[in-house]
Amino acid sequence: MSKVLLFAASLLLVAGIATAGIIDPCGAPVVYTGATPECYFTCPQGDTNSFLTEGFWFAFTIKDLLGAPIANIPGSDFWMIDCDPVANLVLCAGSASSNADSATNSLGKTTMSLTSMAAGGCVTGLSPVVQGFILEQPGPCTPYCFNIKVRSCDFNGDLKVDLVDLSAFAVAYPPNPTGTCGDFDCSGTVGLPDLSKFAFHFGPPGHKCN
Amino acid sequence: MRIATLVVLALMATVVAVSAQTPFIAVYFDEGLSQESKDCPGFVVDTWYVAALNFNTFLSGAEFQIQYPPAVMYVADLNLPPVVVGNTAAGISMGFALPVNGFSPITLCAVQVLWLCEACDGPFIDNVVKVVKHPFTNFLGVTDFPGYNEIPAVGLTAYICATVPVEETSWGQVKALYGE
Repeated sequence: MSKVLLFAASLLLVAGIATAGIIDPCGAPVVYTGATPECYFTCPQGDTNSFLTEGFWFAFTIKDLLGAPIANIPGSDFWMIDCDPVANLVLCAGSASSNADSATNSLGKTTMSLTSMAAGGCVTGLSPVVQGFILEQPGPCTPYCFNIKVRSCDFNGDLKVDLVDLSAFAVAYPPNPTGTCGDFDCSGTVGLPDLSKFAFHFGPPGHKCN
Repeated sequence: MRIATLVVLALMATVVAVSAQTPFIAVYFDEGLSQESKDCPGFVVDTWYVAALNFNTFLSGAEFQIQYPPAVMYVADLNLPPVVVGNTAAGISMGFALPVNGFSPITLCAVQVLWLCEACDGPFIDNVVKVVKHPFTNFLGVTDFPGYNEIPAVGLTAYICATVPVEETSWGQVKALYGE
């Protein structure tokens, strides 16, 4: 009997060692601070405002499968992807397109606020990713999908702002505006502020991934 | 006819008064942005200059329309920034690749027109070049930098064919004007 108990305890120990340090995507609460819906304008060059400047930010608490906080996850291991079912956000340099402010501390905590995003496309939601794990809401374990409208001057997501994007913007502009992807400030209309923003990133030379 | 000339001078004085404080967009007939009226130089292509003044900020874009009088025919816009939607005659929206210094007068673009001098003889009301709101966005003004905030502007009116030609007349005809 004692051998069985010893064997079971060994298994648990091995399982514990094996799961320690592995991110539990469903056990890592993310606190979002900002408006809902939020609006964010991005450019492949990553030279737009930071999340904080735009008025929103994220706080992460990263834990492993045993519920213990994971420290020292580099800020560059955090990034955002889209959760839009009908459109894609194309990221410059993938995971480097956005970062957390610092590595996680001893409590597994860090924030994402000072980063800007380098991307092309037009989507209506963002999900946080850590080391390849899409973080999930504790309980239902469904991926977080924050209501953030991301608009880019790179309309077609080829990661450069060029004539194709200018044509797309011209179509989106009055008198016969189409779609909302040209509404960079989410004001409800495509107007001169949007055109001015587009012009800054169109150049020449057109902005592209660094 | 001389009354018309006086009216023109009075309006030009008003323009100067307005332009002293308010951000405005105006058409000038010289590159130095000083000539606010012009007589018909003949059947020639002429270049005018559209300028933004008194904004006292960096500018990232501008939007307006120019209403051209019958005495000229709009030909083209020149020296435009890289991103432009429309044209000055139908309404133009322009964005600058780099912010421009709005603390001093800025030439937004130049326009080419063809003079049709015979129309100068038309009613005085027709001989004005008006900067007005963009017809589709209903906005006249600029956006600043780096905030991209809209700054409304006043559209000024420039005058052409302002000099009335001297006509031979007689005292009898002058008296007739006053019903004597």
